[in-house]
Amino acid sequence: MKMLSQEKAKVLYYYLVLSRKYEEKANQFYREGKITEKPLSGIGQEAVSVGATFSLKKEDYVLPSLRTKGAFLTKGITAKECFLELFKKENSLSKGFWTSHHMGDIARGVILSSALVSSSLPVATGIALSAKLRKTKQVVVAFFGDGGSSRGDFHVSLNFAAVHDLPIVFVCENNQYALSTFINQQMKNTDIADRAYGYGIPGEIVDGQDVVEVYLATEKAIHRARKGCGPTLLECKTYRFRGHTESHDPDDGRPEEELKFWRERCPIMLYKKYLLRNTGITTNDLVQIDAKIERELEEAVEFAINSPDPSPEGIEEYVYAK
Amino acid sequence: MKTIRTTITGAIRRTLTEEMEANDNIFLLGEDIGDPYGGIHKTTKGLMNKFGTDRVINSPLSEIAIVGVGIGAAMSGMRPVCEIMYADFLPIAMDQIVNNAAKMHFLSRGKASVPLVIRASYGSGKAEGALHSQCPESWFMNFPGLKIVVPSTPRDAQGLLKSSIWDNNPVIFLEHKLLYDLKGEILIENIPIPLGKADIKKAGQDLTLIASSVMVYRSLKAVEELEKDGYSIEVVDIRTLKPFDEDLICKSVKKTGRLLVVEEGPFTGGWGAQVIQTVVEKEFSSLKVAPKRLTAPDVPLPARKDLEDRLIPNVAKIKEQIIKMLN
Repeated sequence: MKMLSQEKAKVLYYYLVLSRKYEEKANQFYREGKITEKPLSGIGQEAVSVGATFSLKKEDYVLPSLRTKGAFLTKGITAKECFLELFKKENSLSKGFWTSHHMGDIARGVILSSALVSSSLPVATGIALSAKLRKTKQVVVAFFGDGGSSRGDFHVSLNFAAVHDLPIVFVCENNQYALSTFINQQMKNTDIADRAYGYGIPGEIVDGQDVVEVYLATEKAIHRARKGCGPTLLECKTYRFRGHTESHDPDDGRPEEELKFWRERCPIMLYKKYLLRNTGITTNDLVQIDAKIERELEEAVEFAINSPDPSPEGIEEYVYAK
Repeated sequence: MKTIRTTITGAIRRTLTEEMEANDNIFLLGEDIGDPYGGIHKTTKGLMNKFGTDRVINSPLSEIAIVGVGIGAAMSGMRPVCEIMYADFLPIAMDQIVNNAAKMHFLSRGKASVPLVIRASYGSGKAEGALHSQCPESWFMNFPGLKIVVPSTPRDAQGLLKSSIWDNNPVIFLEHKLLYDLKGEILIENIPIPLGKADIKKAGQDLTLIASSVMVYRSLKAVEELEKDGYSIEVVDIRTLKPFDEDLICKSVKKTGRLLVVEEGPFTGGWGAQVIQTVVEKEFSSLKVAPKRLTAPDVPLPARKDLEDRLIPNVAKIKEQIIKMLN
């Protein structure tokens, strides 16, 4: 376990900002009526999705949750591909047949997910079993939210993975709200990581706004999984800066003080401060990355908007595999 | 072809063994399937001893995990054969089966597939009560992406299981608990039987009777008894419910002009209605009388044999129905 090189530290920044800027553009498109798919914003939670997947290898797997855009990006799904999916174009990953938060690409290790929260956790667990049986040393990082931890699928996945020492890291993006349900209506003990003890696996609470802390905690858990010591449950305390979906008000009925407290802990701002204070990275370095991202997104949007729509021919294809 | 006489249990166990011997990526997952117990109906007995705990995995008591984990393994290079102890437990895993397994290939536009077999024992006749005796044959008919197989003989079980394992789609493989000990000839070298193909178990001229599993045997008995009175009935074993063999069924009805479907499950929404719909649409002009279904009523099953027996189609009821249709 070691701290990141300057190069890697900059790449981490790149993914954080890419995720943020992509989402801001997506939200804007939704407001302008240019897309029909309602974005589920992960703005404010980028440190979790990016930090927890940053140390994965190419051959590893990730199961994103509802607003885990950063996990797609670190696995190599480009912003271009994300926009294609958003605009439901022919050349998108799911050709317009699925959503941009649930799409997958098994070849690049992104597991296509169910629209039902936590339903894919057992599937991710099965992929970890497969990795173990085939002795591939692959690891799975599976995301879910605080609401997701109430579903049976969560329980059976952790239990199964624990019993069989599977190479999987369960990462909870605890943003304290499941749609409109505050966490104290969801569970009695609001520290989800405590449940790890019940499954006989290590559990840890992580500051979800601190990408370095998330990165270090998951790197350790991934290493543990890869060497065959089994699963870990990481609970990242974080917050959704915007509403449940973009059709909701950004404050979404939450208390003013709570909103203020969390919005002041922007993961990107915190990481910027960290970089400028602790590494040789300069403001100019970061400005350059910002500019690069702006160009990349402009190009991606242009490409996506001009891509063809799926043809109605062949809708029935792929119901069955040959 | 050389054959050997064994039970359906034997046929299933032999097929699992052969396929697992030939292919490392096939493994079994279920509750209590390992040794020494060997599974609730002993179909997997000896397999853990032979193949080890990495190939025959005893799952914690969770159907969601059994199916969900099976889906994940199937998506990443393996061919799991999962066992659900009683079909009555399938609803626990319904989300995994119908939302995940059935739709993965479609939503990924063919990039991911789920070559998964879900085996489950089912059926009435042992007075095991409402939640250990149900007939699940029709439950999954309405979900695109699934296949449903119901073998009635050891040979059919052998050939259909091999095809199910090698099918790249999620297949629900239903084993009637009354038929596990049924003996029959199976091939020493298993030849796969294609899914979606029915089998004429007895040829006849005057009426097409379509049945599955145990109902095939009750139908054959009824038909045999009626033969002395001059009735010539064609008994079709449907073998695969989804997709079912429209061609064979229509061809048969074209010949006989009469259709009776005998189902073990409850009346409303049973697969027989779907078969009749297809025949009415495609062979209406051939029909001499209205098609009929003989099923259990829309009543859960009591945990007493004499009461249970009153509800499930039996030889006498089948005979009565045939006679009605031919007179």
